[in-house]
Amino acid sequence: MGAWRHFPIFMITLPLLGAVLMPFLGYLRERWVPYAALLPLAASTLLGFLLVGRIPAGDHLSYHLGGWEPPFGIEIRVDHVGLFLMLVVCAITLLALVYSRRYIEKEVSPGRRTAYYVLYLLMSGAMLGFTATGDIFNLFVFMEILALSSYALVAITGNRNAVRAAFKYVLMGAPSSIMVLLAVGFLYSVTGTLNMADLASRIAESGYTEVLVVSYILFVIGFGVKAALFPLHMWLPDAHSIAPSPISALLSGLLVEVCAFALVRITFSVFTRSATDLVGGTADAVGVAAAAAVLYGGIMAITQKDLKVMIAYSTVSHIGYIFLGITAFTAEGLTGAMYHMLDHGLAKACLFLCAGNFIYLKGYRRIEELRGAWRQMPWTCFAFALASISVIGIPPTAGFISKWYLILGNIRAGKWLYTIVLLSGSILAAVYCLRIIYYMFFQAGKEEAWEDASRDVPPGMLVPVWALSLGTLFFGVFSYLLIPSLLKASAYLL
Amino acid sequence: MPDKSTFSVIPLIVILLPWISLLAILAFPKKAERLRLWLCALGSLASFGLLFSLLPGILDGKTYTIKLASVVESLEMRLTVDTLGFYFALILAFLWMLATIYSISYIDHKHNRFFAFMAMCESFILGCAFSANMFTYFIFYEMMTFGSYPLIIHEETTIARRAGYKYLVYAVAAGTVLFFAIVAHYFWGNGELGFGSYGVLSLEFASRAALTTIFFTYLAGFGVKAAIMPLHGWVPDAHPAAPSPASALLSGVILKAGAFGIIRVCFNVFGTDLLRELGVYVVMAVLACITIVVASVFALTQDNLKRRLAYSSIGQVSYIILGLAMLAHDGALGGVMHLTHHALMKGCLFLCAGVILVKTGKKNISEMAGVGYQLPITMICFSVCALAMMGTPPSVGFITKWLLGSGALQASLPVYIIILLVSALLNAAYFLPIIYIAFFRWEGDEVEGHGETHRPKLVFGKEADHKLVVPIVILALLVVVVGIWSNVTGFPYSLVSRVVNVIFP
Amino acid sequence: MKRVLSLFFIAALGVLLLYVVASMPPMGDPQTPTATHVIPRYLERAEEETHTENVITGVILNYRGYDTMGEVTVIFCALAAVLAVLGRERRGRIRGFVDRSPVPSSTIVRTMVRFMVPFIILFSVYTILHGEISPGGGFQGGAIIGGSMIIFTTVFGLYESSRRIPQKVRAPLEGSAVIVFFLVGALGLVGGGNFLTYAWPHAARGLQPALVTWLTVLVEVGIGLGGAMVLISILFAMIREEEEIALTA
Repeated sequence: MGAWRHFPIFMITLPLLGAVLMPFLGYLRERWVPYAALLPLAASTLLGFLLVGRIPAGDHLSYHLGGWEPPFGIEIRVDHVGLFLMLVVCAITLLALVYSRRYIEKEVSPGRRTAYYVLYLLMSGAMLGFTATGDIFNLFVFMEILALSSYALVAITGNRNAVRAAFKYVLMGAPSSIMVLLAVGFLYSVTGTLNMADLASRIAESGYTEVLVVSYILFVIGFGVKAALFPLHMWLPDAHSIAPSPISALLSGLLVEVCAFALVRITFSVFTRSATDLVGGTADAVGVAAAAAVLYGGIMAITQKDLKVMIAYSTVSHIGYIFLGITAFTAEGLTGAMYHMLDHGLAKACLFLCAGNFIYLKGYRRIEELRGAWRQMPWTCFAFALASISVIGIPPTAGFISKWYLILGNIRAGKWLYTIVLLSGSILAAVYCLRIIYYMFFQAGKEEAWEDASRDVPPGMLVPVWALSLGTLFFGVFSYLLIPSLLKASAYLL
Repeated sequence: MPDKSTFSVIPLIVILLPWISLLAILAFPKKAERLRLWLCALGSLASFGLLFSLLPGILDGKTYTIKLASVVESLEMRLTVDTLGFYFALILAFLWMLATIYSISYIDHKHNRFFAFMAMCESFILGCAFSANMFTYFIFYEMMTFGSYPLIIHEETTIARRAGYKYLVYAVAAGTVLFFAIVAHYFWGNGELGFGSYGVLSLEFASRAALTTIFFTYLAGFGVKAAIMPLHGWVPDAHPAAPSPASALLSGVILKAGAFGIIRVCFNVFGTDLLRELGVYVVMAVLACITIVVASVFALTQDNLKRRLAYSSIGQVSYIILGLAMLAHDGALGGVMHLTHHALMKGCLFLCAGVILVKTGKKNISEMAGVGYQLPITMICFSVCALAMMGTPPSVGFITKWLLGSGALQASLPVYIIILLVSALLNAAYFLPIIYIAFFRWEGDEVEGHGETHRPKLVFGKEADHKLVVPIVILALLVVVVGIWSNVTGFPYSLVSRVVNVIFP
Repeated sequence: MKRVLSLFFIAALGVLLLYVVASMPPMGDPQTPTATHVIPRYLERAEEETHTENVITGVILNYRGYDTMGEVTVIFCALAAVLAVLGRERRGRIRGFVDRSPVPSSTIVRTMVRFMVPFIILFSVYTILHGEISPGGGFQGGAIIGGSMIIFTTVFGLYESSRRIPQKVRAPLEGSAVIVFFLVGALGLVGGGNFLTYAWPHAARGLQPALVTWLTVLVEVGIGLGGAMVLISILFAMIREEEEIALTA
């Protein structure tokens, strides 16, 4: 019973506390806000890293809030997979926050900057809470914070397009939240409990099959919208491309993953294996949607002219990857999906931040304008190249490892069609990523397009970009650190 | 393989040495251009030298191994220098070293990019040669694939860009197929991706259909690099577009990385018994035969010298495939030895084409009248290699043909001999005219009765920079020397026979 | 076409939900899973375990206090979202706007409002403090305070009300709910329990119930103040936005 048991709750509450203190600091010293906002996230990250290795393999950390044992109180439940995702969230939010300071100075008007950092911290804390919780109503509460803050962050620049994109997001997001709430309500009405572990045992003996099936469908649709699973992705390209780049990085690199992870928890921890027959049909439908997402997202990404929209469509495609890994229902597939959450988070965040660098320095958004960008912004371009290599899944980046396990999982499940879909997805990724790399490095742009401004962006914006892109490389080479424990944890979940 | 596997960092150092070039490019100021370029060559040289120092150990039956990284216990990135890998690494490091020296004089713009990627590719492809399992092989193979793209489009002309585009299309598709093959191999091979001396897959764990699928996806994946028809499309475009040292390496080494992959698949993954059992070797043989003949016919129709050489490469690499597909001792020996032989010959030919291009600006064979007088040493070397390609003794080409013929008899399929003869004839048909035009025609010759002809003066020794000529001469000499004293220690026979004798006792 | 599709979709969803409701366990039946699993314990032991007489408050603030902490964060988040879209006034800038009451009001209305507001606020204090005994609590009380300020602002205009509750006061109090929750939670840790255990370190056994009650009340107060300030700030931001438009138009 060491002090480390309390770490997860502080990882979650510190950013929230930081967020509520920010308005006052913003009133006193507005200039300090960007720096002060780093503190809670840095603390969370530190706590997260201190937690590594403390949780015994194949087990989880169960923390009873207020000392009330579940199902009476709320439980925080952190297993290896959850901790892994929390660390990803911490690291990426911290890096994107470092990046934010300069970018926000340029994009967001002064009256809104404090609100930006407040919402940012709320979103980070909510993602952590969302990942860690072991209670489905609590899951909904954090989803609300997450959703609300992300709506506002999309709109924060305040221009007409941003507000429109955010409104579109709200129009899809609000009903999806309600669906999740309904699903929670239905589950509660037939089991009388909200705790995930308790639900798992009570669902097995509950007789209300129809209610269970419908509530699972509602969960899938609800989280599907938030995770932008194919037919429900309509809000994503607009919101992700119009939001300020650090926010795009969070939305694309974390939010959709976290929501996909929530569905993993619902599927494997709540409905469990005994109920997989029950939800089997739904899972098949999700598989079909995911396969469609991979292809649709890839093709749409190829046809785009705007860099950020292209990256956003690429996200649609990669969410399909993650769901294909989940619906394989094998340990390898799930491991691949989890690892893909990591590497997609890193790579996509890096790509969006790089796109942000181009916007920051030159105001360039269109892919064509990137011709010859290498000459002026070599560091940004190299980081972009490295991250896109991971998106394609070329070794030795992390994308390769996750693709390996995704395909292995689908082969083990005997899902040949999905295997082919995954492979063609990476071909599509190669097409849209290599095109940009080609423009950047091997095409000579107009002289005046690149030579007038100062050299590459300031270090405060380069360091996060490079940390993320080197992260994809690191987790490709040192996958041994995570893959075995992920495999074990996935087997445990199944 | 004998279990005398010793831990050694040398493989890793060998792989990392070319990166000296990268460091040199980064570290030294732009002014010290020559110093930087020579450091690049030095990196390559050092890597070859260090590699060579492993020879006694290899001949002793040792293998050197080092683990780089791993994903899970059975899935690791490991470098192991076994005899076959050493053999491939030796020739590629040698050719790479010569090409780097050649490039110092040849490349005239964007040195940094070219040499950096040269070095990276060498490192990656050495990694391929040293790979201890398919996983590692794939990783290095993919990196090498994408790393060689800047070499192909180095000239940045429209043609080069188009060729590079085509190359990427083929490479990405092939990489995807190969990726599937390896994952499937991992799945049906019970997580065993390593190379066993008699193969690791067996019908115990997997069905016939599964194994056949794995084999054909492997063949398709590697076949794109090895230019097995109909997957050869990128080769005739990429070779002429790339700068000559790069095309020499493309043809001499990078094509061979595909062929080497197929060798690994046949010998160490499936094993000859399983191939025979599955019957897939027939398909491989038929494809190889078709490629050999059709590529030679295509070569006849090309006027661009490098394009003709490219088609010739397509045909020649299939000799290796054919040799493997015979499933006989001599066939395998000839096929694997041809890896080196062809690298020597074709490397030399492409470097010669480069000298011709630089010194006279002529790309097409029809324009080359009298080139033999302007560039005598180059053209003599060219002729030596061209004759060797036809299989004239005493040369490496002859040894290949002889062994393959003998293998065909061992496999009791004399039809292969006919293919080889046809190929030799076609080779003669497309190489001899070049020699003829270079030495026995000169400009203005076509006009009848003109009387006076522009027969150029024969000048020795001053034709080109030494850095261009010396690699060519070395290669041409080796073509003959290796052809005569083929069983000298360290030459292909001594290494390949060790491998083949184990598989076909 | 789009309309027909959406109509169809909504109809399908409605039918599905009705179908589910029909197959759900009947409301009010004592044998349903809801009534037999968790609820009995709350009903029987809430008072002794949470030391609050109002079971609802016990569940909201104690058994499931973490959820409530999330909820107050949602409320705060709503404010942040409004400020992100509308922007917050700079320090003291609010005085620069024309003081114009949105509703032209007579002296009678003014006097009435001036007279009523203190009583409304008093009532809200009662609601907040009595939350742990009777229906009421921080959320409701906060809303009442907010409501009183809405009336006040409607009648007297932004200038008057922002002078009474300036940004200086609102900014630190907006998050008071979360802050109090956090402090009480951390206090539980010091007391040797888990986060959000209502406890005072090393208190004598007899004192503990009273302390828990007081901590509960403290949380209620935090929620009430925070909720009120959030409502007021949102109100100000929205009115200010309108006046800004009115100025330029």
